[in-house]
This record gives sequence, C-alpha cells and structure tokens, in this order.
Amino acid sequence: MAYFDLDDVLCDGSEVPCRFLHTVPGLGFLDGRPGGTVTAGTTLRLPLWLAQILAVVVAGGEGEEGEGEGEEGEDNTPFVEMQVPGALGPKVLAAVRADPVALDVHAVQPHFYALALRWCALYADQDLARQVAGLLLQRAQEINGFAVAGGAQGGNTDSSNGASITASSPFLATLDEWEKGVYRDAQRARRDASRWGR
Amino acid sequence: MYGELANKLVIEAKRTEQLNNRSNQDTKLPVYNDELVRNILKEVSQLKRNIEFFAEQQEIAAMNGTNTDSKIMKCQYFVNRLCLERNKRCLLAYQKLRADLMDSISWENNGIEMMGSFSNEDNSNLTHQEQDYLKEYSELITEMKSGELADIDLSGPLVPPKEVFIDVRVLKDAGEIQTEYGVFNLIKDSQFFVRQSDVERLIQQGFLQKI
Repeated sequence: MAYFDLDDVLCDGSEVPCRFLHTVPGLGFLDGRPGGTVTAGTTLRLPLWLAQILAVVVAGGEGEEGEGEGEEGEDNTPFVEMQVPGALGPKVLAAVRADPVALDVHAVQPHFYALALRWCALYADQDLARQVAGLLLQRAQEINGFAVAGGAQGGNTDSSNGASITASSPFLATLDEWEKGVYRDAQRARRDASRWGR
Repeated sequence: MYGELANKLVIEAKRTEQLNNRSNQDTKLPVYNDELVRNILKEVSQLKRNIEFFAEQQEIAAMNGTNTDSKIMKCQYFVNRLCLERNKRCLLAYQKLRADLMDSISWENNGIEMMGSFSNEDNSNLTHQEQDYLKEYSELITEMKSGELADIDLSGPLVPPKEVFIDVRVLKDAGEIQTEYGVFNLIKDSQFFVRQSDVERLIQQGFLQKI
C-alpha cells in the first residue's frame, strides 16, 4: 500500500454509496450542484478516499481533545454512513458462491481485491474476508494453469514476456489488476524454473 | 466534482505503466500532460482558498462562542481538505512514475551521452525540470561508476556472453580506438571482428552495431 502506487491510488478512487447523516451546506459540488446544500439522508456516490475518512471521523468533538466532547457527547455519529458498494454486494457474492472461475471480476471492479481488503479492514467483515479468500484460492489455481500453458507455448522466446494478457482466453480478460500481477508472476516463475531445469 | 481531473491523470499514468511493462523495448515517456496538471493546480488553489475561508469561519464561531455549527463546519473543512490531499497524491504519483521511468532510461543508456543522443525528439516529451532531473541523475550514475565502483560494470548485461569475439558494424565515424589486439579505425559502414568486452561501451553509445 505504497503512497505512490498507481493501483492503490485508483482503488481509492472507486465509488461507494454513502448516506449523509448531517445537513451540510456548501458541499453541493459532491452532487454536481456547486454551492448547494447536502441534506441529511441524501445518498451520494463518494470516492473511497473521501468516504472512508468521513465515515470514521466522528462529527462531535474530534480533534479538540476533550474540549468539546462533554457538550456533544450524545452526538457521536460520523458525517456519513457507508453502504456496501455494489462490487461487494449480495449479487456479486452470490456469483462468487456459484462459480468463482466464471465471475468476471474485472467487470465487477478492476481493483476488486484491493477494495475488499479495505472493506474488511474498515468493518472487520470476517464473512466477506472468508468468501474473498475462497474466491482467490479457486481462481489462483486457474490462473496458474493458464500461466503454465502460456509459458509452454511461448516457451523459449522472451518476446512473450509475461504480458500477453491480450484476450488469448476469455478467462484472462476477467482478471482484476492484482490478479494480473499474480498471472505475470506465475508465468515468470514457470519460465525461470524451466530455464533452471534445462 | 473535485478530484476528477486528478483521477484522469492517474489513469493516464497507469496506461503509461502498462505500455512500458508490455514492450521489451526501451522505456518511453509520453508527453507531459501540462494542461491537465495546470488545471489540477488551479483546483488546488481553489481548494486552498476554501479551506482558509472555513478555518476563518471556524475561528470566528469559536470566538463568538456559538458551538452549534461547529461540526458542520468541520465537515466542510474536512471534505475540502481531503480533496486537496487527494489531488496532491495523484500529482505526486504521476510525477513519481515519470521519475522512475527517467531513472530506468538513464540506466539503459549507461548514464552517458544522454543529452547528446536525445537532443531533439525524445526530450520534447519532458518538461524543463525533468530534463534537468534526467541530466543530473545521469551525472550521478556516471559519478558513481567512476568512483569506488570503477572496477565493476554496473550497467552491463547480467547474462554471460556466448562468444568472446563478435562481428560489429560501424554506424558512426568514431576515429581510432586502441585495444589489446591493435588499433581499429572506425569508419562508417566498415566491419570488424573484435573482442566483445572491448567494444561494449561503443555499442551502448550507438557507434557500433552487433551483427
């Protein structure tokens, strides 16, 4: 999770539906209405980098170190309430249970695993963590299979340098960004091993 | 909405990264997206003005002792602040990728002859600051290699050579060079059978081509 990691930055930009718990004037630009007011109860799609802070920071007293906490003790709601994003919603999870290999993870969310990781870390969602881990386990075997097959085809020529994910198989088009990395690593490992064995 | 331009910039950077991962050729840098960066910077200064305004408001409210609106103000402040941070991160990530690519360009070119061989076409993709960076980074590499580590060819290939002697063709006139086996006069389009370690540098500099 490096600060400069592009995938990480992009994952932070994925949108999550959020419900505002307070009426805040001047934030209309979030809704495409600059200068407008966001009323309590409005649901907006906010990028994760905004939502994850607003959902954690408590509206009353934070940052004042005990000064204002006494008066606002009863008001401990965060600014917004995050709702489960579509990519981790029941529909997708049902598809995960049905057939992990057939699921088009890339179409669901290009940074699916990164997003799931964030979500698990934020809400300690053990059930989700277990399901995603199961999904990865199933798909990893498939990915490895493809990597080995691809390595055998393009075998000795270095021109097939791991990056031939150009729709050689429909399955490979469904990999999310992180899985592509796994695929490349598997291919490289396979190539190195065969070179060593020779 | 704030942050959308920055997102575009990162997506562009991501594409650059993928293109460079895919091809086995030399690292390439696309044109610096000056317009987008400038627009993001405009957004940043707008956000800064907002933040200053909100901070002021908060102070005034605190002085008057009206505590009712404080959390709302904090929310406005936070949102603007986070947008600012996000833009900063996107800009830095973009620049970091370019810096990394420039580093690998310098290493590929052995840290020498950078400005000479690059002068026209490729350098137009870089901003002035980036050109300075590239130049200074190349100088650093050259300095390191001529210092304590002079005995090791750091940028040499990791694969051991198959033959000791190779055929080379001269691409550019380079005058005479002296080796253990005598003197060669490098005239354009002539061919030689020479020891590889003697001409490695010349190949990297683009004077000779291996046949």
